[in-house]
Amino acid sequence: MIRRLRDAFGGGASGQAADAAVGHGMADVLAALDNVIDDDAALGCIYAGTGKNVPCAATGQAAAAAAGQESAAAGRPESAAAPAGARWLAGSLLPVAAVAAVLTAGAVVLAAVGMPGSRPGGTGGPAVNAAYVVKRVDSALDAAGPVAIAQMTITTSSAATAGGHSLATTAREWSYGDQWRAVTYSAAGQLVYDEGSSSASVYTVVSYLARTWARQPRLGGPAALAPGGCAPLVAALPLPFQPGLPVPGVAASSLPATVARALRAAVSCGALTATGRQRVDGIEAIELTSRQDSVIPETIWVSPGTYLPLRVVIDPAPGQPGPRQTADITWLPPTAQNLSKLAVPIPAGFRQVPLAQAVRPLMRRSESQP
Amino acid sequence: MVTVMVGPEAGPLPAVSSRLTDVEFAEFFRAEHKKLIRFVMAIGADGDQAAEVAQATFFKAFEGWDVIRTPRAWIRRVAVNELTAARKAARREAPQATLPDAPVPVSTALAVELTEEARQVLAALQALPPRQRQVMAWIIDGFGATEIARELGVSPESVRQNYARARKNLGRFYGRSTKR
Repeated sequence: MIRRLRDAFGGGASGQAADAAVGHGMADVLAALDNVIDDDAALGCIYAGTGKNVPCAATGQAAAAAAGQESAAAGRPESAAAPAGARWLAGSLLPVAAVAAVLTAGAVVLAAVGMPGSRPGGTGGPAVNAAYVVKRVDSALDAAGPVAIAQMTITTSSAATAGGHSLATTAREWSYGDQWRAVTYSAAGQLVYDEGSSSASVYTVVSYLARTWARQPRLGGPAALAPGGCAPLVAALPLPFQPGLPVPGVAASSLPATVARALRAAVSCGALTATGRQRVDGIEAIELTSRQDSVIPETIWVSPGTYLPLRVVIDPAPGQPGPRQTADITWLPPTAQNLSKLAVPIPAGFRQVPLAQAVRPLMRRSESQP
Repeated sequence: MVTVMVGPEAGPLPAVSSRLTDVEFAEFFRAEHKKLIRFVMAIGADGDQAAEVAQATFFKAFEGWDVIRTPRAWIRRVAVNELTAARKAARREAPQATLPDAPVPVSTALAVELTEEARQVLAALQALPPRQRQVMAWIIDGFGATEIARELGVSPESVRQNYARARKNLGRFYGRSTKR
């Protein structure tokens, strides 16, 4: 697109080319306004208004409430926060009106803080408002949860050893509603275990190390997030070589809870701030990072088109040894073929054993990991 | 003596007429609302200001809908006046020892939604002299030189000259920005 503008406006370019470039750019402005402005809400305000700049209480309540929280934080009356027209305006915003009700105090603070336009390593791009992006991600995840299967490929990279080698293991995970499945591979690429939970909360685990499998009803429900749902994103990812079995002694957070739920909790908690744009798999993705005071540094890249997460990176706490986890996320339609990915197959010849026995070698392996 | 009218001419007619007006206005509003915001942005306002100007303009259009003959041109002409008035009012406002207004979300939302191409073109338009910018804004919305001349109170030749200069300046602007 830059080339088109350069061609159009550069020295000697034809007037027609300039017109075309302006036309394209202004069509984009209209498309952007289409995503931002709700005509019907605005029209309702015109009908409801008894005079110019009359605030539209019917549509402006949610956004005005958000503005009110900011005003309260700044120690001034709500009515002084923004002109009446501005409050009307906020009311006609599609995403704000839709999601402002779920704004946390943290997200409101983020709105006031804003963000720098770009950072080293990023590709720059326009300054984006953190709260706005977070709300769009929250809405997108909310919408995707019931209608899309989250497929994640998770790479866990351990720190380099004395010999300069680092180990990387991979896992694949699918999540759809309360169903989930996680398949973990060793650094050598061999299948280690396969586990998952059906829609009826029947947990199944297959140990490829011991060639055994186990099944337990009423065990595979997704991990309950803390009240308020403010668990770090790591809760959505399986720990390396640690099955997600919710047995005593195993952190509940290792259960791969519904990805959308965990991500939504993280973004709606206001724990993330937008830091710029970066190219991810050919997409100029919006980058969200955890705050500097975060215990676990997390970064999410979301699609600027769908606002669904494309990649999540979780680093060890500052100064602490530990692996880096990278999850590449694809959102699949719930077709029969894709839904079949949620089932844990039992290989022929594998022996059924009690659950504790099936899990034991996995636990030992987990404990032996650096 | 008071005459009480009965039948279809009495009472219901104004209501029906009002409903027809509402429907017609609503159709026009849905077709032009965002275009008017874009028009005001093209002549130099940011997203928040443009949306506010559009609101004020459409409110006036709603009030005077029955007598407006060329609504597409009318709302643009009124929007330019509204923007000018808003800017004058802003200059008259005495500074106060309060925090600046919290940002309203149109501009911040647009900062995310606008493509690079859109931002570049808006920036290029902002760099034009006001008259050239106005002419470009009208042309972008599909108005011809004669119509623009009538709305701006200038000759069609003046419109054509400003358009030619605007295109030339857009070329210069973009050439400069890519050399940085």
